[in-house]
Amino acid sequence: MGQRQSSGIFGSGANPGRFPRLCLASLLVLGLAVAASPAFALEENVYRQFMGIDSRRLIWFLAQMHLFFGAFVLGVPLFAVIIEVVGWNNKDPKFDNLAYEFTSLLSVAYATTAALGGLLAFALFTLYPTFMGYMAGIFKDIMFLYALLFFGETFALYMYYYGWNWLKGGGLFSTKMQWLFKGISLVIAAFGLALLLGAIGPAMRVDTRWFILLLYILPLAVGFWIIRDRKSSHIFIGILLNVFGTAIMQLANSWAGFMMSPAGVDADGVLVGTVWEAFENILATPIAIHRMLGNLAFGGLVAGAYAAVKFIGAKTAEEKAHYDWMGYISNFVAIAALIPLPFAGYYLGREVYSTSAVMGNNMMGGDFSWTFIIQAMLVGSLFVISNYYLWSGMTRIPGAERYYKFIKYILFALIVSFAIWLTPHNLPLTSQEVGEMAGSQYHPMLKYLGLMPAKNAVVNLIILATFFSFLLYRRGNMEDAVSIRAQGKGARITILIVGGVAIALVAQYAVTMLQMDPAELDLPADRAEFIRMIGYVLVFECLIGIVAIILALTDRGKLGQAIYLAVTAFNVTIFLGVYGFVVMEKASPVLRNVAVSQFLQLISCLVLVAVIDAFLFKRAKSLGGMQWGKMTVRSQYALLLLTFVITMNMGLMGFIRSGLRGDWHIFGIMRDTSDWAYTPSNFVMTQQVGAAVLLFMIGCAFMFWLGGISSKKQED
Amino acid sequence: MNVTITRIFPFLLVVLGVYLWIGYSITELTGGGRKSSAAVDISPEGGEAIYWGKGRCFTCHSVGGQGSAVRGPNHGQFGEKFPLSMGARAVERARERAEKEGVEFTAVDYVVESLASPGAYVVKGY
Repeated sequence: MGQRQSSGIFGSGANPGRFPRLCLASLLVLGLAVAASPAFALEENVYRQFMGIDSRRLIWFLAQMHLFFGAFVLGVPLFAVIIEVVGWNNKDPKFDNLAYEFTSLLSVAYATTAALGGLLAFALFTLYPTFMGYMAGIFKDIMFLYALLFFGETFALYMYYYGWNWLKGGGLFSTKMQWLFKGISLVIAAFGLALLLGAIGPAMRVDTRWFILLLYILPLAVGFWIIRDRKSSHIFIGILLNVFGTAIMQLANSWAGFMMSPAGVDADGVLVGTVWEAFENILATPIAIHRMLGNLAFGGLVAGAYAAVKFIGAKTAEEKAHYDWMGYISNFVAIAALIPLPFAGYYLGREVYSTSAVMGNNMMGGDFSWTFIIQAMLVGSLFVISNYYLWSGMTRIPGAERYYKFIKYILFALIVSFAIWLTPHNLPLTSQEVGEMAGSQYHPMLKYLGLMPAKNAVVNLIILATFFSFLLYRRGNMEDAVSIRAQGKGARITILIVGGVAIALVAQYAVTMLQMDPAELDLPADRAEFIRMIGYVLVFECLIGIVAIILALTDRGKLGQAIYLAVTAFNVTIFLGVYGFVVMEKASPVLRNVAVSQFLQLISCLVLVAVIDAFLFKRAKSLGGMQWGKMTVRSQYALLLLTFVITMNMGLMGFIRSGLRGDWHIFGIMRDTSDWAYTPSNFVMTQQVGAAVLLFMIGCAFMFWLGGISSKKQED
Repeated sequence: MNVTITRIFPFLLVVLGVYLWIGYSITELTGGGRKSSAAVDISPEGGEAIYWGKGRCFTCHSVGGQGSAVRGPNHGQFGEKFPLSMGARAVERARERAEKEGVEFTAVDYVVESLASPGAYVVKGY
């Protein structure tokens, strides 16, 4: 392991000229932003071409490549720091080494991301000068900040990577020093509290407020609080790296959000509000939330692909064991991010509808309705393949064969849900087929499966089934549950706190539903019953949650879990699935509340059941150690397939998000008057995204190869 | 590592091939590729480019077996529900409108009105 520690992609021979190049690239972007002549939305657009290439496709390709590498660079540090914290907390060097190995993948990716970002900026400023001049005029302050943040991220990344061994060992810092850091932590926490209570930024959107709190304030406060020695300082640098990365992403997202939902400007595009208003446009934060989770899943899976490649090429049992474990951790991280991702997507979609019904209809029922069918195929595949990987993993767990019998039922639920998820509302039919259906283009039964209530129901079932697979996996080698009562106050208090939070999450929405005035949804008063019904279901769910907690605390945790899971599955999939159709018919706007209630019940259930499970099997008698490395090569191809699929899906979703603007550069403000102002077909999308995926994977292979030769050199 | 990567790339190419095939099949199924309509002649080809391109007509209508949208009536001859061609249908609708409104109404008037003000005459069932 020691060798692996010092054998990053660059090892100790990193190119010292990379940092100045990155700084230069940042300065160039900054210079371009400042030098851009001011332009106005109503000016006639100027378009240029480079070597006769379709400018839109060129920008699309460069942006896609930049985002692929950027997502990896932002995603990997997120879980690298978490893994490092786990190792630090458990005093297990295995986790520390793994975190280091993940981080070693970043260097080349970071430089490539910056280079592609520079290329993209040059291409945008030279090929779309009017549009970029306008954007630079509105966002010049943000662009300055964006470029400056790169310095912060660069310093943090290199400190984090190259300082790994340097910031190991040593004694505790002096008490004064520790209190100084704790003091800073308290100041940051107080600032966070003021932000939470609305004393700072009272007009801020709720989602932006929580985004800042959870992704900047909380990590920084925790980071300062834990500093007590060199290692914890290193963890703090890791946290700082993530804060810089997240901020860079959020700033860039605000531009993409502004293009879809411009704010702070009048109908002519003149800035009449503040830069903050333009920055905090309606879609900026929903996109940032979605992208954050997507990056985490993507980073996990690309790191998983690295582990899979290494596993396939491994020559010794020790190597196989290490990369098998690395692949498992990567996949675990990816699944953890994948589970809430559909809900973040739903939230983003809802905000798109709220911004513009034209964009909303175009998304789900217009140009992109069939693109969403492809998306359903890809996302469904991600879940099915992830489950397959978990089931394959059970073969290396002694005792897991007890649970094999459940796999066929999980598979059945997944396949049925998958099939429903990708069923379109209306099918392309021949005139003969239409005649056979009595002149209707809608199939008498399948037409229901194409509607949103059916989709919402099955996506919840897919997530529940995946969670169930995970529960079986982690219980694989554990003989039987242990007493929670015997574990002392700590276990009971944790279950009570987590359970309380989970139930409170559902309860607050139950109260909202029981009090909501139908007029808020533009509905007549007699439709209140449809909203109240959701409230009653949520109250019932809360009661079941309480029952699960009581059972867990009285050593009948498995029964509590079973009841809670079964009731949640029934509520979110069957009851609210069917009820969604009723709501759609009688009180359509309430459908979004149904979806939110499904999400809250599901998330609360997953969190509480997972916590109960952690204590139920804490130090449970083992049936044998995990046999890392005893995995089929086929399972590693599943890991690779997951990476390919998520990469293709990212490209596809980018196409939808960007394409929703139709023939507008900035929706409703600046029209796209170029020859390329039309929505490309799905075939063009797959060509474009496919080419970007291929090139990205070649880039990844190059990174992995560099890692390989560096390791080999160290071993020699 | 090199050998491993050469094993994996054919796998990636197969996956990408399937992805392209899905994109191609769905495009064919839903009315073919879109075309730019920045500058088109006043011709049937120009109209078709607008229909399947910038005009976005295909998001609500199909033409016979081409396209899959059913939010609005099919613009071609299709099954028992749409036995007449668009031209013949326009003549019939114009006659109905003329009888109802008591003013002269030609097939061209009907088509122009439907384009400019789609809600002026909504076909039964839509």
